[in-house]
Amino acid sequence: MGVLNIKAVKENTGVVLDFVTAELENNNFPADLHSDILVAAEEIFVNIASYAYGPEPAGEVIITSNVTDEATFTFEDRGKTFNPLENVNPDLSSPLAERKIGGLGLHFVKSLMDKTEYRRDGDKNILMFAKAAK
Amino acid sequence: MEELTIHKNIDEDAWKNAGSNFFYKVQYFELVGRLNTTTAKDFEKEMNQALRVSEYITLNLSRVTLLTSVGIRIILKTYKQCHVRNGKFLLEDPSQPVKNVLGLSALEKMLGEWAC
Repeated sequence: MGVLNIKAVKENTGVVLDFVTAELENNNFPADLHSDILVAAEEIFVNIASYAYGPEPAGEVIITSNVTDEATFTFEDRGKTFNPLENVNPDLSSPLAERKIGGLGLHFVKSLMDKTEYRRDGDKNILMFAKAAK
Repeated sequence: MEELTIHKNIDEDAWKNAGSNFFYKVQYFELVGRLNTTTAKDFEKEMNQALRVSEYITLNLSRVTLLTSVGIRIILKTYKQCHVRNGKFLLEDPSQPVKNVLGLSALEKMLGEWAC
């Protein structure tokens, strides 16, 4: 079980991905599933960095991992109440030349992971995703 | 921390005849590494520079290890720029992680054949 406590700014995305990679590698999680989990981790972290705290000052995110035969990552922030898993309706049908891009990141998270959950606990947003080893 | 290397492969650049002796120059790029939040700015800059040269662009994605929504946004933006200028934009030989994300984005039309 690993924990990363980090400031919620986009510049820290690389550090978050290094943490997730190390947790997966150290627990021998199947390598062909790493990229899906890294996509989910980046999309959630960037979402928190963009929306949780407002422009300044950025708050913290605590990321907790539990990697066994299932890789579970939990993201906890103290920003405003926001469930990013609601209302994820990306435009996937209009012609490419007219395609809008919004909502894709969270659509990736919901599609690539086996489980996603959000809850508000006091002043905390707690978002969890999990992927099983195949 | 993994980064993104962008190889501009001049050898693969080619003047192509679109018919009726209309020739266009295809710019060929190979991306290696992660196309994500940490590398998006450099990639966007490279695509903007490419669009100043011509609106015919091929991206080889066989060695991309991570593609996230910010990369998709720039790919789609570049596609649209090519499209409005009657150019052509192609994604070639995607790695498995790239295929997963392109499929979820319904962007397969950019693969394998000229997209616009």
